[in-house]
Amino acid sequence: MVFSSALFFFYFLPLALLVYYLIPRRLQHLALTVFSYIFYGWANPYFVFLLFGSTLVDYACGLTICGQRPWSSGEVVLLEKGVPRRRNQKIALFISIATNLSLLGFFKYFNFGIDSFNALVTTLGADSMQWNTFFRITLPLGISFYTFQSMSYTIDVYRGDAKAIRNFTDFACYVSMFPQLVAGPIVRFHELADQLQVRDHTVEKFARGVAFISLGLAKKVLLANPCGKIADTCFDAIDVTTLDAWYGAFAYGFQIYFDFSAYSDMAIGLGLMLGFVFPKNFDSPYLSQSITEFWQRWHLSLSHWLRDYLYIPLGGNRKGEQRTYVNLATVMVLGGLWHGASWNFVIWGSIHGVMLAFERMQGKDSIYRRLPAPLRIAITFVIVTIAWVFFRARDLGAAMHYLGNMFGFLHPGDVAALVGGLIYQPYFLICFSLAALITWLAPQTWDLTRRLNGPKVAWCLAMFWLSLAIMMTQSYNPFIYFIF
Amino acid sequence: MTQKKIKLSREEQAKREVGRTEISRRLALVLVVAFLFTIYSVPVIQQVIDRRKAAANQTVQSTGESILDSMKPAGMMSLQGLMSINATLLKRISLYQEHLDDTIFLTRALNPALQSLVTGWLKGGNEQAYCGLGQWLFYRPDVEYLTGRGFLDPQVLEDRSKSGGEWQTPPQPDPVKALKQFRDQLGERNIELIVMPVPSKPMIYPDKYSARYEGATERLQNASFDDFLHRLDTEGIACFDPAPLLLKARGDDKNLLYLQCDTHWTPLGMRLVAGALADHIRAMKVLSDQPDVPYRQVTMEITNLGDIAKMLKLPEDQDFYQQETVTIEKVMQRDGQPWRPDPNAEILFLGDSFSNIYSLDGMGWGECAGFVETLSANLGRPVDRIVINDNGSYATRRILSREERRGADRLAGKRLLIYEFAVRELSKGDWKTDLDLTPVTGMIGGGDAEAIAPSGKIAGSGTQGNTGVEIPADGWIVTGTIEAITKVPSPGTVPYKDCILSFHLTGIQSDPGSPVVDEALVYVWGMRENQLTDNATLSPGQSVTVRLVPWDVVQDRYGSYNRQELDDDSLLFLDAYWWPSEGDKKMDLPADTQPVADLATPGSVASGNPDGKTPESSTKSDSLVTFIDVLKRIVDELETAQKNTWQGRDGWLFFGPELRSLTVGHFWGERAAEVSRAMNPKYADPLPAIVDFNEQLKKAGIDLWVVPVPQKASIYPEMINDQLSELTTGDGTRYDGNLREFYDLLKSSGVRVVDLYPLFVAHKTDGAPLYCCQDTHWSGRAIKLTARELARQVKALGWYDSVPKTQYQLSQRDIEITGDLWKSLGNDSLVKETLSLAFVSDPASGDNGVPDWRESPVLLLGDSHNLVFHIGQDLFAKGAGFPDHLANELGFAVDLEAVRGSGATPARINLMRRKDNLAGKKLVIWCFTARDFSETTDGWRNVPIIR
Repeated sequence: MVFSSALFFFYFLPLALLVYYLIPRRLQHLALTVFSYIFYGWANPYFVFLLFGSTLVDYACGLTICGQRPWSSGEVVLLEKGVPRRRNQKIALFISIATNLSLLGFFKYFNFGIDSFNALVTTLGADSMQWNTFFRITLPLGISFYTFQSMSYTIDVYRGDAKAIRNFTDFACYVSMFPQLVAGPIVRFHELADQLQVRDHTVEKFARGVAFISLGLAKKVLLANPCGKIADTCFDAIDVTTLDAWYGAFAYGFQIYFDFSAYSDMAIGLGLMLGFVFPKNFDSPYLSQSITEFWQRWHLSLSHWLRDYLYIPLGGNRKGEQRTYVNLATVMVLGGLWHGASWNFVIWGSIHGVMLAFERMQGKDSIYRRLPAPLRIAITFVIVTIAWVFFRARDLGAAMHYLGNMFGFLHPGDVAALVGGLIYQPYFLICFSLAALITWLAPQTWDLTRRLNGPKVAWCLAMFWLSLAIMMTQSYNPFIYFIF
Repeated sequence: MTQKKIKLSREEQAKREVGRTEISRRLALVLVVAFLFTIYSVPVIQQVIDRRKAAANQTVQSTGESILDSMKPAGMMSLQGLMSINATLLKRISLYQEHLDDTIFLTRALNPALQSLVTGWLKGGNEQAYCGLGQWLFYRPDVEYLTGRGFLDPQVLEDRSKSGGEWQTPPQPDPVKALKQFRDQLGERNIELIVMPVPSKPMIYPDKYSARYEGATERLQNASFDDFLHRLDTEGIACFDPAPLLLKARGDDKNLLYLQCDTHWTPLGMRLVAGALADHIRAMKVLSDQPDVPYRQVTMEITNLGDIAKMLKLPEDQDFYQQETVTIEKVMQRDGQPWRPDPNAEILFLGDSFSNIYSLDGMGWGECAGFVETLSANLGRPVDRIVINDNGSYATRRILSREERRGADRLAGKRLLIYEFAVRELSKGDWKTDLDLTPVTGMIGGGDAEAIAPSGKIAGSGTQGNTGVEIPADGWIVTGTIEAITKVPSPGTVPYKDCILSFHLTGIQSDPGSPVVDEALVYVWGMRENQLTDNATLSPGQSVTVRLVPWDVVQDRYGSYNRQELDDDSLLFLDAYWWPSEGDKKMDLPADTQPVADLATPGSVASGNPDGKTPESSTKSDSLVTFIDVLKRIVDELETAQKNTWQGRDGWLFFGPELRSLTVGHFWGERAAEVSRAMNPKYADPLPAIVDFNEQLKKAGIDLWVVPVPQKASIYPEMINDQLSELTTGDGTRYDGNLREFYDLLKSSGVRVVDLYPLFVAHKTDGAPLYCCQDTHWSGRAIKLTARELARQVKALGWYDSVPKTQYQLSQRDIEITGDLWKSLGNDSLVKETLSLAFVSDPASGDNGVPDWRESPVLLLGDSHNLVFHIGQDLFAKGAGFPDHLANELGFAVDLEAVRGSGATPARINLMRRKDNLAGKKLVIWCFTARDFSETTDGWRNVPIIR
């Protein structure tokens, strides 16, 4: 189920809110868990077993790490930091991590592994060694998000950053919470542990949630979708002119930003309606003046997760410059692979990894740091956009072909000009321009909703109604991060 | 250190910030209440709408969904069983969501206005339609076929073959593979194959899509097309590619080869290709030597809005995209009948909507003038055809395969098969190779395949399980349970606006004496005019009461509409039936299957609605059925009482035979003798007499215009009685039975008909009544309107200017009349009516009225409608009749030959007695009451007038 659908807004959400607020507080997490499983199972019912299995393993491991048995009723205490852990604690952590990574590895990378192996043996002239399975693995929705979230729980418990949770319903609720289950933000356990125990429900909180949802929906429907149409038209074409190729790539840059940040806004808004506070996931990333800064503003929940659970354990910057560069590159390549199982994501991650390492050499700043700020922003945006080509293109060949079009290395065929028939229509030009204006001139949702006066409330409601109206009448409604 | 403490984590920042949202409580409440009201009101309103609709329809009784059956322990024990349950659930979820998106009221309510903004003004288009330059619109898959990757690219083939989902079978993407198999199958029966991919509009008119192509002459094609041609050539498969021909012929914008707002070609483009294909076929020399079959072509103008414009879902009254007018050439057989496919022809044509446009009336561009008809006329040979809108890669091959498997050997005697499809199918289509063309004998009708004519004779008895009772051609009513049913695509997501769904009906029960059938394959409308029908909501397990009409009876009429077939091939051997919908336009059904009041209708159920009618009285078809019901009752009442005048509302009187004429359905052809009042059944059918009269006049170089005066009750149905007081002609319903279809028949036979019904409906409410309330004739106002309309058309004729003109004068007077119905009613208490008439006079002569002019080039022929207010005496007045007003509008008097009785035969006999071969006449206007088609006792004799 996607947020931007009639089913969600007019059936699922009203029912979920009604049940949530009508039942006793002690049952709220159970209700939320049930609704979350319905939300998740809507995409493919058998995925709920996977989610439940993963939850069960991590729940048991968490308690084991704390020295408790899942079926006992002993008090759960916070482990002391810096104290060496016992063998069974280490095994429990290993089981948790291994289970989550195995799930992720199998469901996300099995097809990729087979395809890569077959491609390799074909290249080596050993076609007979190809391994052709009779089945293809279907990627479970949001598996990258909830496995990372689950792992953060056992790791936090192991490190002594959070207490294990005794109540299974509370834990299941944390893992499966529908606002951020399938596309984040990745909420680490210690960020939410307190709120699972105590949180308040106020009209002001709910109202701000409405504002977040309204603006998020508007970003998705009014900006991301039209930009997505431009991008799809360009990227799906066999040939495009240089101008159209750039137009399509920039449109994709806007699409992915507004699409993902809109989803995050809506997730935060829904969280607020249920009394939860989720942290910010985007901080005007296209205002960044370097790639380093970009990663301090883009998909913050992922970059912080990678930092805390991967970069720092790898040694971070504590083991010398060379190792720091390697760590940065490694984290970004793995971050790329987290997005998807293809060489395109590896290259996308590598570009960012190399840029981060390079900028680290420059003192965490870009090579063009002496240029005026607007130029630095523009150059950063162009670099990010070029990297997005790998993110969006169907495969490596298509990405290289598209880049060839962007840089005028290829002579586009006769049909290339046909693409312009759609993407330069007033509707798309206006939406693209609006996306650009809002990207660089408008305040972000957090700032806009910090103080809600009459005109802002009216604006939020107008955007909500307009977006709903457009959403109901346009069938083009992709959501990029659902596939990760 | 201090700085580090102050720096808050993202989570702390978030909590702090959210806890400090600056908003007044009142404003917060406003925002929350508005939001909650929005998200709760929509489902509540939708629920109310759905419940009302359900209460109105009481459509079905569900016996539960089979998902529970699949969850039996045995099924859940195995992985395969679990996956099967999961696939069923997924399918249900997907269908539910699609249904929700299709039916939610908000979408329907908002779509027109938003589409006006997004597409009308900003040219954003939608998922199906792209806006081109000016009036031009393009179909998205047509554009994507060109801009997308090559359809034979190995990666594309692999990607497509892995698409689909857990419950959707991926397509077979390789057209060459399918065509090779098809060629081989045909080859086994010595049948040649010609493949004809029809170019898409952006290939021929790219400059109308993108200004970048202005003046360019590139040949746009998919990257794989040349490879495709090469592979076909290598395989020895003949391909007729019309693209080079159309590109070469592309001239100025006055002679367009494709419609601007439609996916298809114009008649001009179509004729060009048909001619070239005919030449190509002749050059192949695969057909036997036969004398040419002469076909006649009749030109006709058609105006319609293109299918892409309709896909945009703009408001009804939008003026962003205009209707287009084309001239079609209807192909007529030697006997004057419209062209029909011939099952014995040597050519079988498989085609899609490019063949159906101008052939299938439901597409709105006329009929009998499509690609197959034109090809047949060009070849001078009959052709058999299987044509289905859309899905050209598979649909027609599948039907051919099914026909063969059912035993109806459509390939028997064939030498050539032409396989036409839209070129986009090469990249989008499902080129399945699971089709079997091996004919199976002994499958139809319980073992007599020979008994079935491929294109439409009734099978007679022998339906599976039949106990020997003859199957009535108009069907019989049964009750059964839906075992499986196909889904109808969402309106607007497909390039066709009508779609037939099919379902497997089991456990069939019918009345004693009716044919006995255990199970059947049933076809019924699922989508009409881009609206889902109630049948679209039917689902497995539901019990329905339906009328089963043998499919073979209606196949000619409905066989070319897009049809969603059930996948289960074992159902092939079931007899197929058509379920006539009340929503069908009357002209959609053959005479013997007219859905009048006694028909069960879609939505009727085994229980709770025994008369088989839906209580929803707002639909056109319901109005029509009610109207006919009531009229039948009144006619019965009058006949029992031996009266002929019905007293309606507000003093309106109606003539009994006129009311009857509106209830008889088809009055021509085989049914003529059954329904006509003609004393001699030999003269019951009006069609031959009118066609004969027209032919005689044509030989003498005289035009004939047939001008039937619509029945009063068809224009003012609301005045008949209180039960019909809510009826309206404003919703487009025609209450004059099958007259329109009859007029089409006349037109297709080359007879020009001036249909006054639309004119009268358009002017019904903007002045005095168009009929005398107490008389059988029309009013002075109707006369004036008709005269003006006819004169407008006469003035366009070449000879008109050469006739000397006279300026007449008009004066208005009121007169009280004693109408013939008033007299017949015999109710003296009823106040006589007063009419306001416009009198015509000649200022030069001072005459009141216009004398008939025997030498006039225009002869007015007919019944007393031409005499009323013209001759005075018992016809009320002089100088205000139809001849007077026609003279006033034309500027010259007309010759008159009218009788008080029937305008059908007696008037023509008078004409015959003139014995002047109508010398000097240019035009005969034959004006008579429309009721005479069935009600004249004199009948319709052929009268030799021109000798």
